[in-house]
Amino acid sequence: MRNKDVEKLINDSFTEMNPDLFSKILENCPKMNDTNYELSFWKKIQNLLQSKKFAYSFSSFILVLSISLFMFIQPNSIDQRVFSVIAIDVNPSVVLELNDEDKVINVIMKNEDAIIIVGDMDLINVDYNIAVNALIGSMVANGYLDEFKNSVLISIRSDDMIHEDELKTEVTQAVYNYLSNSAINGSIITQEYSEDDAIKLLAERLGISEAKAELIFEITMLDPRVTVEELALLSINDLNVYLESKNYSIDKIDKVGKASELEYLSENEAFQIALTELGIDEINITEYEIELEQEDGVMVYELKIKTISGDFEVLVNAKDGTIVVENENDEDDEDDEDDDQLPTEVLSESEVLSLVLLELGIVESEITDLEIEQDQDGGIYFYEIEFEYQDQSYKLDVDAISGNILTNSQDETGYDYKDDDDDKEEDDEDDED
Amino acid sequence: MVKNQKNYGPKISDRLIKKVSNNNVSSFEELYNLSSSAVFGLAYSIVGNKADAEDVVQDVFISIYEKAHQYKGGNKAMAWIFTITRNHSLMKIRDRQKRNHVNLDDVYDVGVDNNIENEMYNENIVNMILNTLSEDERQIVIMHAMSNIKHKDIANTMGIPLSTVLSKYKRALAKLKNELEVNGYEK
Repeated sequence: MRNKDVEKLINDSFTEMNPDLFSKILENCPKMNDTNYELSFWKKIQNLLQSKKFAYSFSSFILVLSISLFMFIQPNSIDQRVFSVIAIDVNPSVVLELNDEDKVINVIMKNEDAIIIVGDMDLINVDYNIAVNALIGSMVANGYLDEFKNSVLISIRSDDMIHEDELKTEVTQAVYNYLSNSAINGSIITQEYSEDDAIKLLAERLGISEAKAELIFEITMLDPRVTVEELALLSINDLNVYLESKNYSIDKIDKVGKASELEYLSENEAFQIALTELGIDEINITEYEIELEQEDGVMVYELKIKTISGDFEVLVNAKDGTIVVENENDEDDEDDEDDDQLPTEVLSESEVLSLVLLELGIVESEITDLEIEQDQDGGIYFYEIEFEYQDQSYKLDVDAISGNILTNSQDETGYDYKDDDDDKEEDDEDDED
Repeated sequence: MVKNQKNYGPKISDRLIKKVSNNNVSSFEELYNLSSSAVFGLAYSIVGNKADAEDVVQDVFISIYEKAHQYKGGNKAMAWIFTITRNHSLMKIRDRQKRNHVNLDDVYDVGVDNNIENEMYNENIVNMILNTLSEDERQIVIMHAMSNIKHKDIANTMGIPLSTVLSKYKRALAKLKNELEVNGYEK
């Protein structure tokens, strides 16, 4: 019996025993009954009239009359209330505001590219799905979306959370289908459209859309080694590639399709460029590692190469192959790094390993080939943990102070590169689990 | 599209709490549906019987209704709810002690007859947890089993070090596994 099985047993038992007390609770929450805005408004008017003496009745009458006139003059005012928001970011960034009938009531162009995309299209009072198709079509026609740049960030908010989920699914599907019909294997990241003032301020400061600000903010919350300033420089497609390369598991994000890397060099091409630059003969290499990373807002391949004469670290621009940074480390340098003063709150190797294995539901005695190394990036201390478990290789970066898993090579949560049948099988397995 | 949720516990967004603070009934009901089992489980593990646990659940959600506007965000909604649950549970015990000076062991729903196994299955599991684990162990295991919150957040909620939470959690699960196997629970 695994830890997860025991926890599931506990969960099921309490869930089944838990009685439905919601109606009882609601009786003690009087304000919760004020769901109908108009009703409460009229109640307020009624209260106002009742509470005031005759001397005020005339002014109350005027107030009611004024409001009635206001509503008469603007008969469609309720329809114009923003009920849902759909933001589409490629690099053009467009926000559609919808009423409660899912018709577009406002189109907000967030940057100059968006003005090109929208052009002279009149999307007001159009169904949202027609508007989304029109915008994606324009992005394809204007070359913002193609097989080299296939990523779209969709951000959605609705006053009705169930409808919000429906919109997320439907818009994602619509965009994906449109791109498929245009011979583009699209990759769509879907998230909640933030109403947070802090995100608005961040977007303003970085000169990017709120949707993109929300996405990069979530990444930095998960991995404090990267900064919002760096990530803001990446395009949506680069961000998508970066998310995949780091295998980030971000709760608020769903994703379909794989980001296009056609603009990128292959790992082998980057490797050959690095060897040429460093003048290293492949025969002298004892060990090497290549990872797709970002450095100061530029996508790079990070190559760590160990040779019989020394260790090298090179960053190669992932698109044009230029060398970004080149370092040679000798043994003494490594020792110096290890001797850096660590913050006192850093967890020990055994603590961090226990924490990680508990999170993963893995028993320590069942893992093999364990390697733990401490590293530091951007002032953040973390452990690189590698091990084998049930014929799977795990490679994780774990925050050395909080114990949070920053990246996990086995984690594909939120990413779906498979077809629907495979998903179904996977879901069934999860259910069984 | 694959939904991004591998665990079975509730995932409560800050936005949902914000909507509750705006007195949105459907959001309040959604919050209740997502978290009431976890609240009930934790309350039960502290107060030790179903009737008191149900009272605590009601108190907790009325508190959430009254205090949702005070919630500070930071994606820690479940930890916040657990903190409220612990407080109400401890208050319940204090009230009970004031009223009756009852020995806590006496009020625990223990010793359920195993003969009617199917009907009492859930109660038996719950009683096993109550009987086998210490108070801290119960709370840690139930908070982790009933929600997505991390051990680090449990440590903050309970005001004890992370390392203590981890060791107690490990010990508790080992005890429960043993107890489940001894009693033939191989579900």
